[in-house]
Amino acid sequence: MIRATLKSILGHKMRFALTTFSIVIGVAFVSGSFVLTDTLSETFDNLFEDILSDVDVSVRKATDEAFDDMMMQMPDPFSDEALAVVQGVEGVAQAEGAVQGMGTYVTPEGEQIVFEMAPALVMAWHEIPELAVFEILEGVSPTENGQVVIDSGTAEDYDLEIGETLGVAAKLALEDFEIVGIAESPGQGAMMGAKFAFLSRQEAQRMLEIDGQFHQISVVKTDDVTREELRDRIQADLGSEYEVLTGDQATEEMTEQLGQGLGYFKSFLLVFALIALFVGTFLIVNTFSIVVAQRSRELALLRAIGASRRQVRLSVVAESALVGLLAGFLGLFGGIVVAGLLRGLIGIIGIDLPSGSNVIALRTVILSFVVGIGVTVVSAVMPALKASRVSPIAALRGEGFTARHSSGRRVVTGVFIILFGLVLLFLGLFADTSNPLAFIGFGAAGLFVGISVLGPFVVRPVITAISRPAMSRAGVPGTLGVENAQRNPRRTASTAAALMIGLGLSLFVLVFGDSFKASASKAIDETFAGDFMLQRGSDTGGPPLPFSPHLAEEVQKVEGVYAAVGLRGQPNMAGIGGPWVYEEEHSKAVIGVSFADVEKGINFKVLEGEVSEDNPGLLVHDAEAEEFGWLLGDTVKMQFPTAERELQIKAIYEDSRALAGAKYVMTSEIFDEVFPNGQDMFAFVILDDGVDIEVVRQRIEQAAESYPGIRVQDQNEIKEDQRDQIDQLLGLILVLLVLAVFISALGIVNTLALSIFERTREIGLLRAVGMTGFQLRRMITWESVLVSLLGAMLGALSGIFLAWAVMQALAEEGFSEFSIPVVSTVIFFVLSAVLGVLAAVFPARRAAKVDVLSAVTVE
Amino acid sequence: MQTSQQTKSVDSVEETRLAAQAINVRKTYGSGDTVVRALDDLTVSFERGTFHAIMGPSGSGKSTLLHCLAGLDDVSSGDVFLGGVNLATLTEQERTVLRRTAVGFVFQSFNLIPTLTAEENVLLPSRLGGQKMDPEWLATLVRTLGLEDRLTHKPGELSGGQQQRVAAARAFATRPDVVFADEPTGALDSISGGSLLAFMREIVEKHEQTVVMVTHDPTAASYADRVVFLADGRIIDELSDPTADKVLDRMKTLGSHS
Repeated sequence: MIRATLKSILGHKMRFALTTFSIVIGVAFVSGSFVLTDTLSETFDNLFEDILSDVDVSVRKATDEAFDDMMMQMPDPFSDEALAVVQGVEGVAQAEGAVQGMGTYVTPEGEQIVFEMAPALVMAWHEIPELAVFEILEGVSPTENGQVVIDSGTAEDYDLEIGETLGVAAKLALEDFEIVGIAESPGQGAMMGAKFAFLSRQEAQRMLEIDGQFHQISVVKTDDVTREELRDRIQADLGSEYEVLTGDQATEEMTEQLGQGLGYFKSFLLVFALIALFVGTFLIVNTFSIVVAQRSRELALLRAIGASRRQVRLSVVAESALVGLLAGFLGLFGGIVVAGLLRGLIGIIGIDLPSGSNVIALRTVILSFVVGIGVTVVSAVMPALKASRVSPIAALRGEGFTARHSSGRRVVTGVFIILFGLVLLFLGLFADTSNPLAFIGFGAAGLFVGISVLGPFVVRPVITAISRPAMSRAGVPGTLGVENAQRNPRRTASTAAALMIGLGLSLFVLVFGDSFKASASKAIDETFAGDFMLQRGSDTGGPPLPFSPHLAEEVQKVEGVYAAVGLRGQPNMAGIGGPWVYEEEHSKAVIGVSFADVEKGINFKVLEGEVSEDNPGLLVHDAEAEEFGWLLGDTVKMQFPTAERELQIKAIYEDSRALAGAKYVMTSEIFDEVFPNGQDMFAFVILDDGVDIEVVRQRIEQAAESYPGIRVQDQNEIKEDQRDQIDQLLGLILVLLVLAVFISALGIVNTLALSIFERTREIGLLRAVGMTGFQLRRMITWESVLVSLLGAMLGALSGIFLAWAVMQALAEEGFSEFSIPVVSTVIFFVLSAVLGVLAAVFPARRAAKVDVLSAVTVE
Repeated sequence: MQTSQQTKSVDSVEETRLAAQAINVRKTYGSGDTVVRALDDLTVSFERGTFHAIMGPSGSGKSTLLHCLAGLDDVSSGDVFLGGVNLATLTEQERTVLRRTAVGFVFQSFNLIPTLTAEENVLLPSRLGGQKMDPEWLATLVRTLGLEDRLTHKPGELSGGQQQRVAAARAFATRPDVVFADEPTGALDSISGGSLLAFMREIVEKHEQTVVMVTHDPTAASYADRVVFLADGRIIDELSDPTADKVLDRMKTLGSHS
C-alpha cells in the first residue's frame, strides 16, 4: 500500500505541488511568526545585556503595586536630594542621575525630526564613563549650555554635522543648540530607531522643566560589595518611596516588558497564520475529494484485488501525511523567509528592528510539523472515508461515487453549523466571556464552514444569475464555462468557499473601517468643541503624541483666540488619560483640564453640580458615577502610580466626547502634581466672535512653530486626518489578508487543473470539432471568474454581516454609523474577477496543450 | 468557405473532384532500431459524394491514416490535401478553423459535450465559428437521423445509438468536405449500428456528402461505396460496392496472405 501511495503522489506532481504549497504558506506564516519573535527576543536580550551590564544598581521612583501590570512609559521624576543620599551609601563607587524625555528636533534646513514610530528623545549626557550607554564617536561631549550631541544614526539619516545648529524642543519651546559631537552605542540596535539628543544635565533638566530632578539614578558599586547587598543598603536609606533594582533585575524587567510586547505582536501575526491555515484546509479537503473521485477506479481495483477498506483509507491518509510532512518541512524554512518579509514590512512603517541570526527554537520545528501534518491529515479524513466506501464493482464499472449524502442531511448539517457559529459569535460579541475574541473567531469560522456546506445549493442559481448579463456576448466559450462551473456544485462551492473566507474577511475590514470612519466623523461633528484643534501626530499615523502644555498657553495669548483648552494626559495602553486605580482593582484613566477653560465654553454637558475655576476637584461621567454609586460632593480615593489623592466630585456630566471620551476629568493643576510627566494630548481653540478665521489661524500656526510637529486643524481636516489613519491601519490588515486570498486563488488553480485533467477527452473533442486554443482559454477563464465571483459574493454577504454584528456590539463605544463603502465594494468585485482571470492562466494554458489525438483515441 | 479554400488550392478539376487525398505519405514513430512505420509511402484519394471505408487488421495504420487525413496528426513526409488544401501549408490556427468548417468527426465513443443538449452539440461547430447554421439543413439532418424528439436532451439522457446519431448530425452540420468516422459503430449493438450507418449513407447519397470511415466490421464496411484495405501502412487492395460477404472473403485472403 505504501508503494501505491508513493506512486500516486509521484504520478501527479502538479497536484501534489499545489496542495503542498497551500499548506506551506500557512505553516510558513506560523513558523515565521515564531522565528521573528524568538529572534527579536534573543537579540534584544543580548542588547539589553550590553547596555545595562555596567549598571550595578538603579534607583527610580516607586510605582504603586496596583500598576505592576501596566507598562509605564517613563518613570516619574524625583528630587536630586536622593542622589546625595545614594552617594552617601557605603559601597557606592559612583552614582549619577539620569534625565530623559520626549522631544523634537529641527535641522538647519528646517526639517522636523519627530516621533515616527520610534521616539525622538532629549537626554542628559552621562558624565561617568562606566555608565555611559553612548560613547563619543566624533567631537566632544555636551558640557556647556547650548551644546548638543546626537546619535550617529540620526546624524546619518538627516545629514547632520558637527558645528551645525540643531533646534531642540521638549517641554520648553524650540531653542537652538550647536552640535558638538556625534555618539554611538553598542546597543543601538535595541533602540528600534529611536533618536537621541544629549544635552548637559542642567540643560536637559531645564528643557524638560524638571530642574533639580532626575528620572533615575545609576550606581556603580565598589568591589567589596555584591549588587544585592548594595541594593538593600540603598533601599534602606532611601525608603519605600523609591524602588531600587540591581542591574540584573532591571535587565530582566526590560526583557519581560519586551516579551509582553512581542507576545501581542506574535498573537496578531498568528491570527493571520490561522486564517491562512483555515483557508488551506478547504483547499486540501477539496483536492483530496477530487483526487479520490478521480482515483476511484484505481482504489476499486485495489479493493478488488483484496485491499481492505482500512487499507484504502490508510493509503489516502498516508498520502496526506506525506504531503503534510513535506509542507511542515518546507513551511519551517519558508518561515525564515516570512520572518524576513515581516521584518521588511515593519521596516517600511518606520521601526528599525535589530538584526540578529535567526533563532529556530525546537518548539518552532515541532509546531511546524504538527501543524503541517495535522491540518492535512484532518482535512483528508473525510475524503478517505469516502474512498473506502467505494464498492469495487461499481467503481470498476466507472460509476464512481453514487453513494451521496441526501441533500436533506446536508441542509440540516449546514444550518446547524451556521447556527452554532452564530451562537458563538453573539456570545463573543454580547455576553461577558473571558475570551471574546476566541468566541468571535470560532463563531466566524463556523459561519464560513456552514455556508460552504450549504454552498452547493446556491451554485446553480447564483452562477446563472451572475452570468446572465454577460452571456449574450460570451459565445460558446461563455456558455460552456457557465455549464462547467455548474456541473459539480460541490466542487465549485468548496472552491468558492475557500475564496469566500479571505474575501469575506477583507470586506469585513473594509466595511468595518468605513463604518469606523463614518462613526468617527459623526463623533467629531457632534463634539468638536471650538474652531481648531491642536494635535501632535506622527506622519505615519498612530495615536496622538503628547506636547508641551505651554503651547495652549501661547495660543491663548494670540489675538482673536477666545480660549485654548489643553487636555492633559499621559499616553498609555488604555487611552490618552493618566492611569489611576480605584479600590485596587478598577483601572481607570483621567484627563486634566483647566476648569477656567471648561467654564469658558467647552462643549460639555453637566448634569449635576458646577464647574468652576475656584472649585478644583473631580468631574465624573454619569455612567461611572452610577456604577460606583457616587453622588455629587462624594470624595473619591484615587491611587495614581506615584501618588494618592482624595478628590471631591464637583460635577457629573453626560457626554464626554468633547474631552476625547474621558470618563474622569480633574483640574490640570492637580493633574500636573500627580503626573509629573503629563503633557497635553489635544488642545481645542475657540476663536472670538467675528474674527477672520484664516488670519487667526495663521497667527496660531506662527505661535505653534516653536513646537515642532504640531498641527492646527479644523473640523474637516481632523476628519480627513482620522480617515487617513484608519485607512493606514486597514491597509496593513488587508496586506496580511492578501495571504489568505492568495491561498484560495491557488485553490481555484488547483481545482481547475484537476477538473481539466478529468475532462481531457472532452477538451480534445472540443478541439477536434474546431474550438480554437483562444476559445478554450476563454472557456476556462469564464469558469474561473464565475467561481471567484461566487466566492466574492458569499464573502461579501458574510463579511458585511460580520461587520454589522461587530458594529452592534460596539454601538456603545461610539460605533453608531454602519456604512458600506460602495466604491471599495465595487473594486472588490472587480478584483475578484481579475483574480479569477489570473487563476485561470495556468490551467487554461495546460488545457490548450491537451493533445487532440490522445484525447479522442480510445485507450 | 469553399471559395476561401480555393485560393490556397491547386486549381484543377482533379483536385476539386477529390474530398481528401494522401500522396506518398509516411508516418514513423520512434527512431533507430525501434522505428515503427505506421504509414509507409501511402497514396490514396477519396472522391466527393462517396462513402469510403478503410479496413485492416490492428496496427495496420488505418486510424493513423484517418488522423493524418483529418489534420489531427502530422505526417513525417508526403502531402495531405483536404478539399484541395495542402495541410502542410496551414498554421495550427488555420487547421482549427479547417476542422470546424471542412471536416466532421464521429468517434467510437465520447462524441458529445455532456453539459450541452443534443441540439447545442449539433450547433457547436458553427457557433464556435460564430456562424448561424442553415436551419433547413439542420431540419434535414434531424429528420434523416430521427432526432426530432431528442434535441433538448442532454447526452446522459440518450441511448448509445442516439448519441452516435447526434454526433453524426454534428459532423455533417457544416456541410464539410469530409466526415471522418473512427469505428462509429464500435460501441453499439448491431441494430443501432446498422441504423446509424444507413442514415449516414442516406445523407451521402442525397446530399453529396463524403464519409471516410475506419472500421474492422465487414457488415459496417458493406454500407460503403468503396473499401480500401490496409496492411503494414500500405494500401494493399480495394473493393467497390462491397457486400459483407465480399469484404469478409477479401479479408480472409488478405489475412492468409500476410
